[in-house]
Amino acid sequence: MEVDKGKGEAEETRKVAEADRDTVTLKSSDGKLFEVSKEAAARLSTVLAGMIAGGSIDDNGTDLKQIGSEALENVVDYCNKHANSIPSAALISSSISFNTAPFKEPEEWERKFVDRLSHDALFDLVEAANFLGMERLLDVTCHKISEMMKGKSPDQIREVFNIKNDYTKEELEEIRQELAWAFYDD
Amino acid sequence: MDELVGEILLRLPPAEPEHLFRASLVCKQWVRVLCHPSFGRRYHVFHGAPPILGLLHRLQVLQGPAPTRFASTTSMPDFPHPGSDGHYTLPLDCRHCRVLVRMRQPNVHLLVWDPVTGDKHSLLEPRIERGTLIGDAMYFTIRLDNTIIKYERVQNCLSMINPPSKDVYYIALMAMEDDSLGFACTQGSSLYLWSMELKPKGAAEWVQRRVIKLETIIPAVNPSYDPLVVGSAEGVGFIFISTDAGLFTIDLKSGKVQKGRIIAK
Repeated sequence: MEVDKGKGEAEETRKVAEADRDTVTLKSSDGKLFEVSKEAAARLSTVLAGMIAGGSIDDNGTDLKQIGSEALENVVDYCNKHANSIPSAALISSSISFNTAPFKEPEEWERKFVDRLSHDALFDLVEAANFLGMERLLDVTCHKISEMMKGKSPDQIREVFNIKNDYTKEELEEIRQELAWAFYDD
Repeated sequence: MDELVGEILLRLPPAEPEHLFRASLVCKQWVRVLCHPSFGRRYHVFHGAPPILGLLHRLQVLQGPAPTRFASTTSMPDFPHPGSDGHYTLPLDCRHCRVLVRMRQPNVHLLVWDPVTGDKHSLLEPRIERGTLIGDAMYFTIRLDNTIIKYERVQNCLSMINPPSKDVYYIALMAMEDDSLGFACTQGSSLYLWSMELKPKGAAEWVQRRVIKLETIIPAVNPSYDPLVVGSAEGVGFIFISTDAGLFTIDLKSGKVQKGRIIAK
């Protein structure tokens, strides 16, 4: 999705073009440009919807300094795929407030979309979805990560999340004895 | 990433509670996220109605007595009733995610148990004495310290009233003439009568109405045997007093004493 913006265009022409365009250009932290359907961006991201409505979209590429190019590419890819899939009723309704609706299982294409991501790409995408206020993408990516936790010991989970264990041995032992059934042999 | 931990843990399925338990062992920040009341609320909204965690058998008619175990319907294995240690326990009721278990132990009669958090509160079983109905409210006393439990039928509401005297053993509740709550007790050879008077702004306080020296009106065979109040007759202002000479009724209005039928206590 990366595009090369023409450099010789006159400022005026660009401004007129921007108003009529049905895409927006987003710029990753490392300066790469991505184009995404304006409609999909506004529908799937509360942050982008606000920027489009408020006219703060930059036709030279709206700076998203918190998002790297790989994550932004995935965000744009998700938006485009979403625009092509038949959206279900729950996703169209914008009145559903953040995470108060009962969870809706990821659809088949969403599952495939997150399954192909590397570990790091998935975690970067969760952060990007959170930053952009993309409720559904956050749902799908968090669901995927929660599935990765299943069947793992606390040690293995720490490894996945790169977390340092701050329990003492005694504290751990106490909890483990209380909840012995919840642990696989590890 | 920190703020997203809750988002991820929120999506662990309630029907497989071991995932949440294991997540609590990852680090202290995670256990803080999991234990925060807002997580519980969001988890509930996110997954809809809480899952059935298991079953507490009370009776198994055909298979014999029920095992003293919590029969799990999730991936969590069965586990014994708390503190049963092989002793007999009987779950009595389950409401608001708490289980009331009857224990057969000298210092624990009842256990209020939260099977999710494992919290336990042990209680001595209150011995409920006969109650008195005044208007729409039913009053009971609890043997332990004479605390009065008021049950308002219309509002379906329970409240507690401190008794005028905690260290008397023989007491009776009664409806007074003016429909206030009466409290009769015997101490030594005297009968004390209290009534609850309502004060402005909904407050109430006990007022001592009468002290009746029973030895002057009720005969006793053995003077060292104190008369005991054993009850009251609803609505007619009679109090029953038992002595070693038998059962007597006192008409509180007229002060007349009558020897009743001798009823073995």
